[in-house]
Amino acid sequence: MADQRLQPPYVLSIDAGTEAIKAAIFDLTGRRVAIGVRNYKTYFPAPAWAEQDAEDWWDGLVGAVRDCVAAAGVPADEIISLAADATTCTLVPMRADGTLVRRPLLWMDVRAGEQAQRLFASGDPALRYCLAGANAEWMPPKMLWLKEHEPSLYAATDYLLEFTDWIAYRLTGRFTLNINTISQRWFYHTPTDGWPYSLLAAVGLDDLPAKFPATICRVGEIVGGLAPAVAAELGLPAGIPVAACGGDAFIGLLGQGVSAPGDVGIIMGSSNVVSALSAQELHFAGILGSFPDAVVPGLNLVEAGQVSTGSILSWFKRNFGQGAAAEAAAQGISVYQLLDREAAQAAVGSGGLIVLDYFQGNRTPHTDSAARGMVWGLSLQSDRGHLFRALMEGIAYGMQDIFETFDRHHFALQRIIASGGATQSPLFMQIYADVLGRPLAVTQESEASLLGSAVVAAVGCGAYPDLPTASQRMVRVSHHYQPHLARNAEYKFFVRMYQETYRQMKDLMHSMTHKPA
Amino acid sequence: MSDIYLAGIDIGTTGAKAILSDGEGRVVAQAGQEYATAYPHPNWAEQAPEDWWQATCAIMRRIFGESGVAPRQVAAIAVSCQAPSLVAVDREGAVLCPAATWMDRRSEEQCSWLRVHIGGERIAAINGGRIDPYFLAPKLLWLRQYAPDCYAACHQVLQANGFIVQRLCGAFCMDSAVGPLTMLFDGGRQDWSDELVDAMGLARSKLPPVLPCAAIAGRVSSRAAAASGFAAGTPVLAGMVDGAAAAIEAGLVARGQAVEMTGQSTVLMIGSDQPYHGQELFPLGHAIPGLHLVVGAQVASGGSLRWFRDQLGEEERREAVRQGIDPFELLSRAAESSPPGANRLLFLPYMYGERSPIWDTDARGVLFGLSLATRKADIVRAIMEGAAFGLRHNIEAAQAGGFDPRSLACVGGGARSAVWNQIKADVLQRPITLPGAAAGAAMGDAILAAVGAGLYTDVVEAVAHMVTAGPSYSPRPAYAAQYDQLYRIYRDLYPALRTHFQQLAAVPVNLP
Repeated sequence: MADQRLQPPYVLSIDAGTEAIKAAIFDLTGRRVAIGVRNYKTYFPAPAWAEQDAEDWWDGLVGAVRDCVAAAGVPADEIISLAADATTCTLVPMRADGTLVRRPLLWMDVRAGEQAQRLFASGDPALRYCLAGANAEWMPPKMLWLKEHEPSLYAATDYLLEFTDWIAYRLTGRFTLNINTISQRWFYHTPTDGWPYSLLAAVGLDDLPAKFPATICRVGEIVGGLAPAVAAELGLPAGIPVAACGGDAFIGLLGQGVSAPGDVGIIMGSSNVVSALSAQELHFAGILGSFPDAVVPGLNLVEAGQVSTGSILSWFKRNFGQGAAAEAAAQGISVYQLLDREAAQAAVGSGGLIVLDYFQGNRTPHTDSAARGMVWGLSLQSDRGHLFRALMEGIAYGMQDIFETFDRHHFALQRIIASGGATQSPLFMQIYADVLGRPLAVTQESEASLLGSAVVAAVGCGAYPDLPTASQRMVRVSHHYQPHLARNAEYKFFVRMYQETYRQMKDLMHSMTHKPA
Repeated sequence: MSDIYLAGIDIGTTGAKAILSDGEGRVVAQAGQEYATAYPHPNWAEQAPEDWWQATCAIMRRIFGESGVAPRQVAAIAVSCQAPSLVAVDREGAVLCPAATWMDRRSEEQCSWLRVHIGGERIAAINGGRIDPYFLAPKLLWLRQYAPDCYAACHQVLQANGFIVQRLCGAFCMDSAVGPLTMLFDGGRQDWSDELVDAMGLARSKLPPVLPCAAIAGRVSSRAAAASGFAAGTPVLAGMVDGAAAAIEAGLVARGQAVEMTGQSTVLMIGSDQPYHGQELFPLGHAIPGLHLVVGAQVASGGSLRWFRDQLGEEERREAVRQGIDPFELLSRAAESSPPGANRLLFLPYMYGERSPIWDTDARGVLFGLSLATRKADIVRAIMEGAAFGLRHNIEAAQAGGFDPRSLACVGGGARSAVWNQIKADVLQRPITLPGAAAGAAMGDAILAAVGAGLYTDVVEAVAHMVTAGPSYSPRPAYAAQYDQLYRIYRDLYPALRTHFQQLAAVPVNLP
């Protein structure tokens, strides 16, 4: 139902996440009119592998857009623009006829660990963005894996795209790349160098750039008009501009109002993506970047993050929360809310449980794809609430580990803004504030990426002159969580245990991960 | 022989169990009754000896009431028990204070004193084993220090089976098999060590006479007959510690044979012709004179699986009720659906600290190698594999001390899981056998009673007649290398975490 304050015209934004694809309609002041959500499956064919199916994506997209348009109840011709962000580093290998040569490798897929190490060993100057080591999630390692393990499929590939570019292709029929993901994940250097030819040559990927679409779009630049057949399938006006977008987490910054130096945005989804804006260029081990002009022109984006966060809670709920479904239903709450209530009964430290959240490796500060999750301190008194709280605490310890790395390199952190599904749990947000010892702002629109794509779409159709202006006009903060000082003091011990555990366990994790099956 | 029956009674940690067996080892009646453990303070664990007696009387009356066996047909009674417990009684056998059980760990302070004033090496040389609150001597020193009135009034210090024997026939005694758990025993002489008793300044007079397990301690009194349903005059044997009873039930009657019993904990026993004088494992006696047991004991192997069922197995519990089966059966099926190695997941089963070979109260459970691909079934399998790795650790400690098991039999609740038995065979790379009828330690008691009643000349002959062979499991060589690799990582986990366990244990408990 449209709020009476809502004013046409509207923009449509799409956010293709890890577990679901969402479509939403916003007005130009950032108020959400309606949303449609469809889930899709992730396949885990082997440890460290993660794949999705493009057919599932398209079915989900069509369903989500149609649901959203139907729910909005606004005339379709008042929708004047659209943009779609998606998970970053999800590799889509395509033929020129638009078909896929294989199932896409999801961003979290870390099968290319060995390839990443070889890439890093080249010592090429382009590696300045990842001084701690090349991450197996990134595109060149994945592409190298494809070439080495599935050479015939690699040969059959005409275009390599990101998920967001694949959506743009399906909407417009044009093969393009976007500046955001290629500068953050493909080692493309905007100001001067362009593609990292010497890096690619060093690992035998000389032929790779031939598979990159020639057109590179800025964020907010128009890729093309919405193709008539697709428009009909989606129930949208044909020909409206489709704006080039980018990676979900980075586009999400625009939906969080992260636009000034010292601002840190955290998108809490299945992973935690931490993006900080800096006036200076920064290059040190324990971060990714800084990437010049990657989202906000003129500012350097410093990136950090945790691979598996919400996905761990979802894993726990899937494996151990099913038995609680009936109980939750009886209380009229969700399973997550029930688990939160159980977790709230546990004290700081969860009765002495330490969780390492590296279920799919560590992104920063260690950049270790062979790391794995662990729980230690289990006793016969540990219950489900202890375990669920310990998972949340372990995730928050990982975030503190990231901020301590920032501190050591004199990044002047001013403001932390969080959004994403996890912000719906007040307990989890308070644990973050207590562990970090800093206030945490939560945005009113929990779907930062959706709002970010709406910002992009609004700029794409010319409603605002630039991305920062549109972001400032369209984003609101709803809540500030303040740290509890006594709990913060208690948490310091557990953060230290967490950090020492990785140091102690690293070698054993590597032997475990590399053990022949 | 069919008109003659043997009574076996086991005073276990969670309850008492009794059986009547015929002379061929066929169980004709059995009954059990649970009793409570009190945890009045952290590290304390107490039971009421009167509860043991009441439970014994209740189950025997039930057995006589339901089986149709006449009390006069019982040729002998043998009692086994959890051990060691501190049962302080006066001259009439009246209980002076609650019994501290084997789980009670309040006597760390006394252990420190023992380490300084007597020393682990001297104790190992005489009694065998290591200084730990598990054993009787530190418990007794605690009693003397903190409950001096009770210590002064104490006429005899009994074990749980000795208490039941005293109730049945009036005699005060202790079986020789439990001796080494007192930390006051001379394994070579099979009697109290005057040297250790004197060194600790304990009163020798409070320690009961030591009897061979199959010796007749006395005969059921008319008063006990009225309470228990046994016929007055029935012979009562000295009995034995539960581990020795389980060993007999599983057919362990010679050097080199080994038995592992998994319930809440896992206990490994290896037959030896020499008493054990090391400190990583500990010694126990056997009902066969000249045969000794070398024992390795974990704490929460089966307990970890039970924990999983109770805390994370809500679905399985519900489904088990629906299907009318045991939830452990569903957990076993889950474990079977996960491949050997549990998809690269390891579990350290130290969920209530650990006994041998690491002896660390502060150790805790660990799940190592979690990924989003980890399934619930992988965790269940990892728990079973972790318990098997712990067993392997104990076997290797025994081998290092010169005690190499030639065969291994599995008994206890854990042995009901075929997949767990196969995991043990694969992890240990040795065959595993099961006895045909698994009725628990009380079956071992019935076998001993058959010897005491004169049906057989000795335990070896009785076992030959009363114990049958059950299913066996062969190690699969294809998994040997993989389990070797995992076991090495398993062994490296504890040293890497040991100081962290200590630091964590030192953190005060907080409120939410």
